[in-house]
Amino acid sequence: MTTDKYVLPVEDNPDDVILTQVAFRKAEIANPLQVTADGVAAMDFLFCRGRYAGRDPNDKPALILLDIKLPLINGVQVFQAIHENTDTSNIPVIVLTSSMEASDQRICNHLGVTNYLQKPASLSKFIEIVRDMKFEWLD
Amino acid sequence: MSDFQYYQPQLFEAFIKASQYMVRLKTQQDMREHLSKLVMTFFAASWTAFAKRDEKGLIIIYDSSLSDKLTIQCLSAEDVNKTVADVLDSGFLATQVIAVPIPSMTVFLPVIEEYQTASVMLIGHQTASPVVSDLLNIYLAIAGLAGETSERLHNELELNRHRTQLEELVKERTAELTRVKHQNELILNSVGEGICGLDSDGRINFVNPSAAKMIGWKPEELIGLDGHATFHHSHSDGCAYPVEDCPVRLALKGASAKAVADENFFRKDGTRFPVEFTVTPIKEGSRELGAVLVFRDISERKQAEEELKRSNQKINEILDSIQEDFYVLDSTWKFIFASRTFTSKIGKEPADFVGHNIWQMFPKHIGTDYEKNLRDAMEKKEIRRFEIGGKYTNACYEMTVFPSQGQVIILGSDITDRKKAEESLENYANNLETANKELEAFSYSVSHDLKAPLRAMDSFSEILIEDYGDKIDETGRDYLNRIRKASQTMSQLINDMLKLSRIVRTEIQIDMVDLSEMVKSIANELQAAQPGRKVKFVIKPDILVNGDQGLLDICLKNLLENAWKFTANSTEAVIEFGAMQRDGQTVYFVKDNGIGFDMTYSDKLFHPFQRLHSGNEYPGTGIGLAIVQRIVRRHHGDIWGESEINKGTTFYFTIGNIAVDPPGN
Repeated sequence: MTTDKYVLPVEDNPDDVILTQVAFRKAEIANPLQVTADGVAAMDFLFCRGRYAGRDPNDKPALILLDIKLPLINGVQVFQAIHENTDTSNIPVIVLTSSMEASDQRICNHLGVTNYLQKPASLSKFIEIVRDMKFEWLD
Repeated sequence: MSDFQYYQPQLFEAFIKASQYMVRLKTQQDMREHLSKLVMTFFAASWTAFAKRDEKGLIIIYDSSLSDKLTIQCLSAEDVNKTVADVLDSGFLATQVIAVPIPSMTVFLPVIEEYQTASVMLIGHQTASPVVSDLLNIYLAIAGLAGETSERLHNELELNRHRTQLEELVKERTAELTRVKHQNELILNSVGEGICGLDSDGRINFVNPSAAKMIGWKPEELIGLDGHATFHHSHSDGCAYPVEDCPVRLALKGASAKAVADENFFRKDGTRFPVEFTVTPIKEGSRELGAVLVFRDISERKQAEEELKRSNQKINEILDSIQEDFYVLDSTWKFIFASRTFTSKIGKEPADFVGHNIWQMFPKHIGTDYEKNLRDAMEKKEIRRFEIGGKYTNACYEMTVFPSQGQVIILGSDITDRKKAEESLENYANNLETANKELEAFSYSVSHDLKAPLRAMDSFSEILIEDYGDKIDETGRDYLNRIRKASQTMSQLINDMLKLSRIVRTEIQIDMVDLSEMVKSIANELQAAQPGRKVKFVIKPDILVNGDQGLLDICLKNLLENAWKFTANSTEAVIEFGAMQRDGQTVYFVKDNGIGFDMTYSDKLFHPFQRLHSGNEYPGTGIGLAIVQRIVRRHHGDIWGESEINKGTTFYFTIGNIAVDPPGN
């Protein structure tokens, strides 16, 4: 059910949230975005606990956009949690970050991150990336 | 018997003559011969012979005037022997008629020597009639004479023999004496010491060659001279040395041997030399015969003593000047030596320490590491090194203990300052590391945090232009574009700053890097990115260098990007890469024939964000060369640029010998 496919951006920066939404709109992606503003919220959502306790566990996002730099819990830890949990490990995760530090990439590689993207500074670039994402993960 | 008439005076005369003659005779045989002649001439004897007992006790006949044949025939008869024996035994004369071959009246006369009948003289008359008593008396007298003469001759012989023997002895003794004398002379002459014999008045009666040589005289010149006046006349300072004070003279008089050191003798030429001498008086009973003076030139020894004193002084000066705690202990832990620096710490002199036991002097050190180390060094004969904090001060010492031949040598160096320096250095290094880490964390988070708003600025401006462009006039759109550009620039600046700090922080990995290949590949990239541009690359091949692959890549990228950028407006752009030797060093260069820069401002070339061209003509943040310089510096090299406006620019750089250095440099 393609219309049910939604994307879970885990992003604390409200500007970046809006930009993501604009990018998706301009890329003509209709898939809904379920935004969680921090790692704890993201995990609560994915594992149907906390404020999302009543959620259906089978209702999983088609794609997770994960920012490395998050308040409360580090994005890497969130990724680890997702990756290690059998329920969630098959959800594709794209790690988005401002950082192209080799050390961060290494850590992520080590953990099993296969998709690592730098947050583009320009919107147009972001739109391009989003289009690719749609093509790869949401169709 | 003949008609001879014996007149007593004639006989007597004959006897006198005979006895006179006898005195002159030298041998027994001569005497017998003479007597025989006398008797036969003057007393008409027919023949004579002598007889005696030989060693075996047998009667033998000898010196007979008869022929041998007759002697044996007639005189060896038994009865003759008997008569001879009788005469020998009794000492009285005998007569007998013997056939020789015709009957001869024979007188057997005892020849007495030393109160004993030594032999018998036989006088034979060729007659049967008895011998006249006067003649017999004469004969007795003659026999007596013979005896005495014989005795005399005997004694003379004996005397001669003794004399000869004595002469032999004397010769022997003289030879021996000569030999000994010669030997003594040899000894005296070859002895190194000067030996001088003085008589009781102090005059030289003997001097050996060494002595003469030492005082510069010929030996023969010295004999008879007054010894003291000749070579012992003054003291070393030139003052006269009165003979009454002279120990030699005192020895001559006082008669006990004396040994003197540290006086001077004077040579013939007036120069003097230090001596040590002994003077031994020669006495016979209580009579003083003089003295023997034996002396030695001790100039060399004195010199050696001086040198030793000087070298000891030097050593002492050195030891005194030791600024460290330096001391030596013997096997019983007593001080043999202690440096002044050490002893003055408790207000004492080195002499106050010598001979004292260290554990008694410093009981506080018993049971400490210090004691353990010293004992270990002494017993195990191993060098020990350890540090101690001062017990009386806050000073820190590095102690080294050297065992050496049953002693221990201890050297203590004050390392308080060093330790302080080490501490502060460690602190500094720690601080630096902390600062670096903080900076790293800071720049990491800062760049993140700075980028996010920039991203928002740029993106929302873009959205505005795109989605609301129709509602904004051209000026408005222009302003929005400027906002976009500004945020993009800032983003780039942040990236550049991150890049620069990364260069500093990264750990260098040294490999063999092919710069030529690197330049080739960068050139290809540049060309691929802008295929429209025609740039000629002249790349010298096989330029290899030891360095960090990654950093050198960034370095060359920056240099080549610059060259590419600033030749953008050249008609025939040429970019060169090569290497050359200058002052024994390899200098690498990137050369372009682009716009160049004003050398006046060349000192600003490598400042971060400092540009020599306006952003309109040639884009860039001005970080590139700062990065290049950092990289070259991390490789212990140097970089400089030369340029001429519109002609081109060349950047030269060197790569030094690098060991791996820690990040943060």
